[in-house]
Amino acid sequence: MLSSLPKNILTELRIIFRVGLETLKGIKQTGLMNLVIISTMAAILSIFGCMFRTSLGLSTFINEIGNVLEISVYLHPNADAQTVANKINRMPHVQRINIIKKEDAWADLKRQMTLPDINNPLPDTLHVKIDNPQNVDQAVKRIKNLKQVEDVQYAQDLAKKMKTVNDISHAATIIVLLVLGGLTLFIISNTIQLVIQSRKQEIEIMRLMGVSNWYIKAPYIIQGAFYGFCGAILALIPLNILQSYLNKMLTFFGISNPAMATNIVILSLLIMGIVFGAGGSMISVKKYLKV
Amino acid sequence: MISIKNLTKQYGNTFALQKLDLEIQSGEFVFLVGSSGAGKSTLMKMLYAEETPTSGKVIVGGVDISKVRREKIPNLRRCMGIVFQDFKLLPKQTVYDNVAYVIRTLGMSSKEIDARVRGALRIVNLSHKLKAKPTELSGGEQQRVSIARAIVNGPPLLIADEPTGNLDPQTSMEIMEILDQVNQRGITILVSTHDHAIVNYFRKRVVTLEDGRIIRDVQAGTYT
Repeated sequence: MLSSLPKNILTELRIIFRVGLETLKGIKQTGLMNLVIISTMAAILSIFGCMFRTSLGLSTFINEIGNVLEISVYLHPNADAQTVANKINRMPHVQRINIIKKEDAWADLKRQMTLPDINNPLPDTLHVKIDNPQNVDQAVKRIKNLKQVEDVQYAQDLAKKMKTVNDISHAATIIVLLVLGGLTLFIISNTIQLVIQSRKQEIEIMRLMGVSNWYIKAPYIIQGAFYGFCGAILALIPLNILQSYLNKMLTFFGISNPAMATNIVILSLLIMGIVFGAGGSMISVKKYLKV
Repeated sequence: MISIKNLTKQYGNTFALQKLDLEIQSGEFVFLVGSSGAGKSTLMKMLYAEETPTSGKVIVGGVDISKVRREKIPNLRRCMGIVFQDFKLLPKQTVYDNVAYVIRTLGMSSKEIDARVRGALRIVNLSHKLKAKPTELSGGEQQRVSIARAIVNGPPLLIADEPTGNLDPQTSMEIMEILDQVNQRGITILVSTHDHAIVNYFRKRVVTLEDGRIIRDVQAGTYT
């Protein structure tokens, strides 16, 4: 008696089509509230999208600026510059080393300034480039430990500040994601709750007539995802405006735009909208729709 | 078709059903009678798994309902027709859509749905009201739509909980005539009622409940 009807792909497609129709019915019944919810979702997702995009732009900017930074390593007079350079080259995070021989440095200096005819007081110097500003401190400590090294100089404060700004930017994006995610869940779950309440009688009849649980629940979850999706699409407008400003700023500093940043943000917005929209619905369905 | 063994349902300290045993064979027409609070509705709800037994067994079509997993209950309900006192029709949908609703969710083709819906509405003599909304129908007509919806999926069992409770005597008789016709098509019918005239007229098997116990079970009986 409990054997279910034979199912084939056509049957499944018809069921999916029916679920789609039920979803559209729910959206239609929600009326003008649809606009309010989608606008609210768009506003929330815009904030997230803009923050995320800014954070990505800032990271690229900081990394690019940071990459320009070099560590100047001054060697003891009897140290062999090539040997020390080889040692440093084997250290992690080291990207490139330029050896500035003391004779070349002295000649340069003499070209730029009028100097008395004295013995060359300059040491051999190495200009070391590090892959990321965050790793500069670590690299400096390692280099200082070499006995051939007399002194190390770099823009310590600037590197630290840039690292801090980068960290704050990332943390702020994550906090905004969590707060706005919570807000999205709250708004969607409340809206879907209203839809469920307005169709309570219909749900009761469906349940008693043996309509399957997922068939009853799915349209509400899809409706929530639909709000998230529409909100994300609308959020692309302010994101696009911000994008053009960021591009101008990065171009001004001669820094190339981060690869795929826009695509990553668009994809994140769509995923966030759909996942949080459907998630908010699921909370409501679980709480208010007993089948 | 239905086998109830030592069934007890308790709400707090109150017993709605007590150690009840009942066997209903396929194709039977059974009236379940008793005054309000006798336990008729509770027993009906047990059959379509809206209530669970405190103890004992309820077996419908070979399936022990107390052991059916929650997600499988809709499958069980689709294998039986249920008719309610208050019709439970979707007010904004037409007669046709009300009857077609459940079989649409099963993914049947439009052609098959159409054939089944028209067939069911022909049995209840409502072929001419396909496009009417429930609010445009009389109580008797609404109950006929409800019967059409219950039989559209070809269930082997139809449960009617006080189907004439909201209807006048003449309309009630018409509804019972329809249920009798449905029974003649081989569908097992269980009707709960406290309408003496109907029970005495049809002379079917009568099971009498009182304080949650079966006190009488008579073939071709009357309401005493």
